[in-house]
Amino acid sequence: VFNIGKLVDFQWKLGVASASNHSSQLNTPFITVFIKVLDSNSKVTAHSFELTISEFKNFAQQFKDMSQLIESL
Amino acid sequence: MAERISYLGYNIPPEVKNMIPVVQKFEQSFYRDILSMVALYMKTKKITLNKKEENDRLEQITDSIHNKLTISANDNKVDPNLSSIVFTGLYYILKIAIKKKVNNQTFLADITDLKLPQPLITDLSNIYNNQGKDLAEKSNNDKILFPKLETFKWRVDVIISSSFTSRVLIPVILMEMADNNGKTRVFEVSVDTFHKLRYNVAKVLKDLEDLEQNQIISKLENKLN
Repeated sequence: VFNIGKLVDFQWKLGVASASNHSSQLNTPFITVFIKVLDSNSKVTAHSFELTISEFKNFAQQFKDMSQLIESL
Repeated sequence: MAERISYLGYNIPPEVKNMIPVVQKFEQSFYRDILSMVALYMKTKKITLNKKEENDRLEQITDSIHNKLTISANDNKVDPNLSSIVFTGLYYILKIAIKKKVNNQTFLADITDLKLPQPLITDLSNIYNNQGKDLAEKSNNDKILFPKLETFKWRVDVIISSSFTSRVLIPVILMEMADNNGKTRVFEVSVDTFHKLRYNVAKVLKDLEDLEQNQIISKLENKLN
């Protein structure tokens, strides 16, 4: 079995960035995704990443396409 | 009558002692070369070498110095070991003078006492007068330190909902710190922890100000400068 791991955990959260050291009024919504992957060495590695709204729409669209394809099989 | 002790100490370091008989036999151009190599080495050496390129560059410089010493030793028909002895002795003379922040007259008086050849004394004192400040500044910055904080960014987020909670409006702070070793860390701080952090930072700042009030520290600073 080659090294594509298995998804073990998938969590998300939706937040709004209100201020940062660059600007005091951001008001940008974003989604943070946190996944845990079990790889072929039986080690669980955690990865987290952030998506802006448009990136998240792309992400969600791809999952919808995947689920459509799977249902059609 | 109190006799002043040389800045090199009551017992002259063996590296300098061993050099004195050897350097009497050398020609002025030869030890001028060696002296300029000593100055180059002092300007480029560093204690903490984080990046590989800096390490390689330092090795290049030390290798080239070693080669030049061997070549000029062969040119002058002198054993290369002797030229290394002279290099070490001159390096020590300059290094201890810079470390103890000796002033120019004391430096001149003490190396005259060492009974080195007169042109060498003039050359040494020229280097100390002209480049002493640069070398001192360089050695002040060349210390063994913990990694220093280079950049610090933060962001305040309000979590609207997540995969196991919904309709919660909790603010959270995200911080990103990069130190001068190149390591970057991103982490979350809850409002609670943030208040503790803020309290501790204020406390440290106050302690720093109290130290400046302390007269012993300011007296020490004045004595060193």
